[in-house]
Amino acid sequence: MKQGKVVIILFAITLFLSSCGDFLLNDEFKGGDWFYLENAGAIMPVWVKGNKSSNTFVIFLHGGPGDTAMTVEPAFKTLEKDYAFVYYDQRGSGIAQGNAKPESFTIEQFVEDLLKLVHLIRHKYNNPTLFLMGHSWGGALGTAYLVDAQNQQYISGWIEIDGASNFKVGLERSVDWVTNKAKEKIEAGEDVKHWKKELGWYGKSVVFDNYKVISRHVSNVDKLNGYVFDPSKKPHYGISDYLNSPLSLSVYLNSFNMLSNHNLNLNEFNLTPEMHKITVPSLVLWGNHDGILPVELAYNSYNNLGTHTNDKYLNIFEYSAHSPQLEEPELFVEKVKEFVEKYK
Amino acid sequence: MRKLNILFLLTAGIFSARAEDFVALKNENATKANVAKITLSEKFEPSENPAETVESQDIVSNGTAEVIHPETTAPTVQAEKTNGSPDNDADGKNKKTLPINISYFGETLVHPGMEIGYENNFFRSFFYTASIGVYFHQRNHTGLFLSGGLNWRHTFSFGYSPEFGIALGYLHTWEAGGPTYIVDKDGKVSQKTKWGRPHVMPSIKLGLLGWDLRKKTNIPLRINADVIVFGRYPFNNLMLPHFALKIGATYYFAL
Repeated sequence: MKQGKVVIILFAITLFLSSCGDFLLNDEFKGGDWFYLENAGAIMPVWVKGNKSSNTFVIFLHGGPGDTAMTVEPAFKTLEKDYAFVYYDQRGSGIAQGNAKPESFTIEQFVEDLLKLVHLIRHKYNNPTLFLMGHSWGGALGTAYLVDAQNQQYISGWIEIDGASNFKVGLERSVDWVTNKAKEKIEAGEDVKHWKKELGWYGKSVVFDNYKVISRHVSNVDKLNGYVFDPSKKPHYGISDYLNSPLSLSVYLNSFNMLSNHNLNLNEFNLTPEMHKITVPSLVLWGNHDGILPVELAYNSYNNLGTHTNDKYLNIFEYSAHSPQLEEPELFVEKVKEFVEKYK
Repeated sequence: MRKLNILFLLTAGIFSARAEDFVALKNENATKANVAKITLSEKFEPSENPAETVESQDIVSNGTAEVIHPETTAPTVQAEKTNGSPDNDADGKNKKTLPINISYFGETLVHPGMEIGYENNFFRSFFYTASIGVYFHQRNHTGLFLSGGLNWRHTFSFGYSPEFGIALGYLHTWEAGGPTYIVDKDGKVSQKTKWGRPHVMPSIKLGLLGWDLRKKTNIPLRINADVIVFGRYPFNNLMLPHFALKIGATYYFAL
């Protein structure tokens, strides 16, 4: 009898701990609608939050490829007061689950997933006004989606933030950016040994075809403040952000896996010749000090969009690198709101 | 459950008794220095299992020791009377106990779950285990697993009881936090029944904070705090590593 009581008590304690998981979630990750889109082996989490009654929804396309959209930046939270935001992790990215095969990591498949997400959002929220917003790799995905005229019919506006629609030229410019900055560092006598070594490495015609090479270049860009212009504004995620959240180690594993994948053929990725097909209102936002996709690409996007000049806009953020939404959030929110209000 | 009380008459250097009348002390020290003559209140067959012998230390120090028949003794009494490892002397198989472990299973520490398991000692400090468990990672996935493992455990005389193990299991996961939709090529949306997905689940256990209360108390309980590293395969064609903290207790039910 006594033994039975012990078991019952232990069972009750464990059951209690097992069932009270919600309060353990960080407030940052509570609220909104959470659901999944399953397509071609991938199970992609979708998080819709913000002002859904506005009937204006912004689908955010995260970077990477392989990153997560679930670590929402403050500027988006501000915009959520006026509009609903749709965050989703692309196949094989962030906390997306399932067993998506590497062969499915193609731009065509990513576009199909996005189209299905658009259908899902339209179905679930009674045909709201939809905008697409793509950051970095998300800029490439958004562009690839929009070059199909059929897909454009569902979208009221396109917002590209430091996008990678021309990855091929972007990487070339990025290498130029790093080597120029490295030379400045050497002339200034800062970390001379390191930057001489890196200049030697770049001199050997670096090919971005594996994770090791990409990581080394990314590290150099980061050291030269090419990701975040003001290092004090770098986001810092503590361990509690991961423990009390939907995030898992898949955020790292998926990113590594995606960047090791050759099906996206990033070295040759260039949608510029097709960008004239995009005719929806467009807003191009870019950080002036972006070291991974330098600011020349902003003009490339703006000039090649097929959108009428009255309906396309370009804004360069003077004190930002790769993420103006992070470094100049007030101006970012202002520009996005101006655009969405005009075309919603 | 019967308990046999056996009186030892210890006479150094002299040993004469019929085979069924004594316990052969297989402990090396005991066989060299001490021989126990016993008077049985009830006849029983000596065991060949080392785990069922009486350690010489008891006999020497006590002069007269009580031998408890391993097949008929409750673990609480046994723990009082021997200095041997509970793993060796009070394991489920030899002592007719049923060890059931119930643990909090915290995937990445804070994603709560539970695990219920059974263990059995099959050779010296080695155990096999079988368990079933579930955990909940909010807005990520729910995992249900069945696992079988091989463990090594050493219990010190004061109760500290570290344990290490490897296991292989089946893990079934379901995406958690909301419904799952599929969209056909014409854009028609439908909600999908969540059948979940199968995974292989290899794992490693580092049980550095085990404590066996049977060593110093009458409580047939072993407390465990283990770090578990387990894999989930396939996950996007990869093995996704997970960490878990397992805190619980094993209760040795007397049969």
